[in-house]
Amino acid sequence: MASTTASAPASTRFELNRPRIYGIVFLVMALGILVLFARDSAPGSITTFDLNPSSSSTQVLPLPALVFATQPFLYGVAIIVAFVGGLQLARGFEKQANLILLIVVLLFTISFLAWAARDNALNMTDLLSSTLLRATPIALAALSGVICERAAVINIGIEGMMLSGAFTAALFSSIASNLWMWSDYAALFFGLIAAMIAGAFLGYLLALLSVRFKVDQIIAGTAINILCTGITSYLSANILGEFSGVNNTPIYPPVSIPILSSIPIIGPVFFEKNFLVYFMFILIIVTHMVLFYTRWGLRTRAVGENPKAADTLGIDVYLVRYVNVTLGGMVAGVAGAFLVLGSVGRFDELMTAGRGFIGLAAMIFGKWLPFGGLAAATIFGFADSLQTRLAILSVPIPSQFLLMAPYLVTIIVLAGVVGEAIPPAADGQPYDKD
Amino acid sequence: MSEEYTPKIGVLTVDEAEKPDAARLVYNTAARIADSLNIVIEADEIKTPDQSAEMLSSMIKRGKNTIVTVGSASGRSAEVLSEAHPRVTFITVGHQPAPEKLNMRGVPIEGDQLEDMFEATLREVLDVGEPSIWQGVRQRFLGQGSGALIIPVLSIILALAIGAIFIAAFDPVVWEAFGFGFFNGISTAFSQVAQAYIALLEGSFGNPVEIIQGLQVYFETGNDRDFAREIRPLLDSLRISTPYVFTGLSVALAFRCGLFNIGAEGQYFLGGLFSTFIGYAITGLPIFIHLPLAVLAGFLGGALWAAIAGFLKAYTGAHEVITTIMLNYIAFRLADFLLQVNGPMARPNDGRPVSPEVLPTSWLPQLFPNNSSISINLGAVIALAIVFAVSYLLFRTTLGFEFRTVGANPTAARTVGISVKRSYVYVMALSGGLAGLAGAHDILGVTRFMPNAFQSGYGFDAIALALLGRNNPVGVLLAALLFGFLRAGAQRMQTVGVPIDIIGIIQGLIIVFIAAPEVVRLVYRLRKGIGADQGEIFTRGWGGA
Repeated sequence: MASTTASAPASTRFELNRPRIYGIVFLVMALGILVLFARDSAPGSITTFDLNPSSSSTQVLPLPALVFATQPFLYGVAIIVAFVGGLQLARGFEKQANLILLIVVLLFTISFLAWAARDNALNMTDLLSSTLLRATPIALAALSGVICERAAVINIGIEGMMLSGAFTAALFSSIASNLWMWSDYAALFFGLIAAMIAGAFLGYLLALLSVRFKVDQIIAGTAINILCTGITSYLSANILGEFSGVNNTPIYPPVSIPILSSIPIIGPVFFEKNFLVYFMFILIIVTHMVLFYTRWGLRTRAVGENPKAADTLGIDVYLVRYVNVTLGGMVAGVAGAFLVLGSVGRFDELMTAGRGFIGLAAMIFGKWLPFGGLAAATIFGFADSLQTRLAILSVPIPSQFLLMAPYLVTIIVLAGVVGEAIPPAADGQPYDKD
Repeated sequence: MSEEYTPKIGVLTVDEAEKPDAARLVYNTAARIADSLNIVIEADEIKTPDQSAEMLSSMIKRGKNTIVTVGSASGRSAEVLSEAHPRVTFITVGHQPAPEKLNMRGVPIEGDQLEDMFEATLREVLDVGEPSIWQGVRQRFLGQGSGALIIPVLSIILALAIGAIFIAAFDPVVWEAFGFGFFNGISTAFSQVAQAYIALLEGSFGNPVEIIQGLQVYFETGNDRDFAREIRPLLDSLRISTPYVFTGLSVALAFRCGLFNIGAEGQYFLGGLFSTFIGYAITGLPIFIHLPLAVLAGFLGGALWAAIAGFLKAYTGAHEVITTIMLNYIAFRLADFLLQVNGPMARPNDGRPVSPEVLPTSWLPQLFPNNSSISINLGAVIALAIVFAVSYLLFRTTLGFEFRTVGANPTAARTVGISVKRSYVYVMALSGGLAGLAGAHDILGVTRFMPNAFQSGYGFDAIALALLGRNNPVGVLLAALLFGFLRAGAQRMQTVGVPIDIIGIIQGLIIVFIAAPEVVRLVYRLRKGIGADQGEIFTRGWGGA
């Protein structure tokens, strides 16, 4: 969009290509750190980053808190970022440019935190810990999208599938726990399985509509969203609101992994989480392995990129799509179950609050890769958990604007500012066997 | 029509037509008929569908007045050209043209009756010569084109039937009755469902007997109180339908241009915000300036918001489904920020997150100002006018023609010199503007201030409306009335113990069935050709234009 200067001689006109845009962005960020943060903090301010978790079931090796003078630190960071920007403009980092961009954004974020926590303390470990918790349902939603879209079926219905998963998880787990008096883990497992079945059923429905009946996939997904919103709200009013004990589940307790959980920072952030968080990591790793190192994964990708060629080679395109979309629905069901069983322990109407759609955005941001989706979800999770903390730190930015940030980032990413998002070639197109 | 009409047939097949056999079959059939009638016939084959627009143009130049295309791509190109060449009759095999195209016939490519159906269609076209208006009418309501009405009606019935199952299945009264025997349970289920649906009807239309009685009282005594009370449900339904008309048209318009505007909700929000602001911040204007200004502000708010998505789609390829959803959430946060207690648009000295009340000079006037129990405002009339305006725009103006052309086939549109990018931006702006009008209606006509929890669910309902109305403005109007009446009636249904969310289920089912007409055909055991899909729905993957 910016490189429309092909006709002008390159020597006389400054061409605004991607490396130069990066360089300018770096310089703007350096200026931002300087003006917004460094100049705004008083010369004597001290920033404290606590690194020990505020609550932990296991003994984490204690670390001293990071204490530093705010202003000198920010000046230092601004100079480094400006230097990097200059380097980028002068000769460019070529292939490392995106990595450098990531580092610069990270530095910018840390500067922001240092400024926000000036004359105050911010617990970094807690921040990162809640980031992961908030990222989990989004990462699962993104994974659901990846599984479906690698087989070229767009799944807009993730939101509805999550909602149904959350509802069934709450209902069945509560019944098992409160009416049948099952043990917590048995009841939780029952709820999780129920959520997975509900998700798989909806995934199958989406596959049926889009593969067999060749309904426009986006419309089919939208229909599933509306249907699930209606059904869960209706049943919630009719069942959950009418009977006692059917909307009150136990929740998965954090499980400390021996030794690993006592590592400072990393331990509390990664190894003291509930089962569903670990399950999310397992699902992502398994999906990655299956997608890129097995025959089924190869077939899936072939169907996603060129179904006709895949068909010619004897791959059953329809079967691949049915299986993948059903599995994708199942994963979306897990994402919904997390919201209940891994978090609040009850179902509320419309409790997904758009996480399914954000998961889709994370999938696109993550370039249709399982780990990419996780990385993007982490960004959304970070903004989400930061926002709750900033209210405590009394930062003069309205929390609503911080909450907007993930959505703005999504739009910017979609607009192709940070590399182009290229979906599987056949994504969204129905396939006709003859 | 006075000059002599001699048919000249041109057949266009694409090398890679979806069904090579079909192409051959169609040509052979056409050749046989042409031979028997002594008519000129000429066939062309092209390598890629991109060339179809050019090839069709050259066929028309060479004097062909009956053109047969095989394959969906060439069919769409034919549909584009049909507008400019009303005297040429097109038969598109494998592409169902819009029902209002009087000079086009679609023949489904699937099924084993292709030869028969195509022959019948071609013979009909050749016999009659030029298509008459009557033929168009017949095509729309009877015969092959009846799908425009059959599928939606059957879908609604089916959705209501499944809704009945939901009502019965989760009613404690029914469960109890099953305890006294199966038959007892079933009959109670029926009576409970009947009770619910009667409440739905009375809540939406009112009780006809009492309306007539009220009318009698009015004629006899001149006292209109009874009549007003009884007619109220009906007018309430109309009022509730009004924003549906706007949002439904919004989505339908974008659909026509190939864009899926899933963000009517956010645009509705922005429209509401803009209207509210103009409504309370500008003082001292007379109503005939202030009101139009406030309404226009609502249009503008929605238009600007949606135009962002249109612009991004046009110039960066960012998919409108995700961008409009993201813009929805940004709109919610924005409203959250503006309306929070002591926020920039909050009511001063008030503990609630609400805007100040808009001034009476910006209120949409009530249609029956003397009767305070009736609430229906000028917005309903504006909505009706907008239906015709959108209809006119789509089918009688160059801009509308461009929108539809881009929607049918962006590549072909580009070939004939239409700016696809400009169309995307314009159509999104107009679409968002319509959704913004819905917000303006609800603020200026109903609530008169903006509460923070202004959630409405219009965004998704609007998609259902566009699908149900087949993206035709009049169809959308009918669909909006259906939804408005359903929603109004559902409020009455709550009084007999059925949660209002049942409407969500029924609406969702309606979309599923309309989107997948095959399911409906399966349930009702309809023949394959009946109600052949005439929807104008073209969405694409995540990729750019």
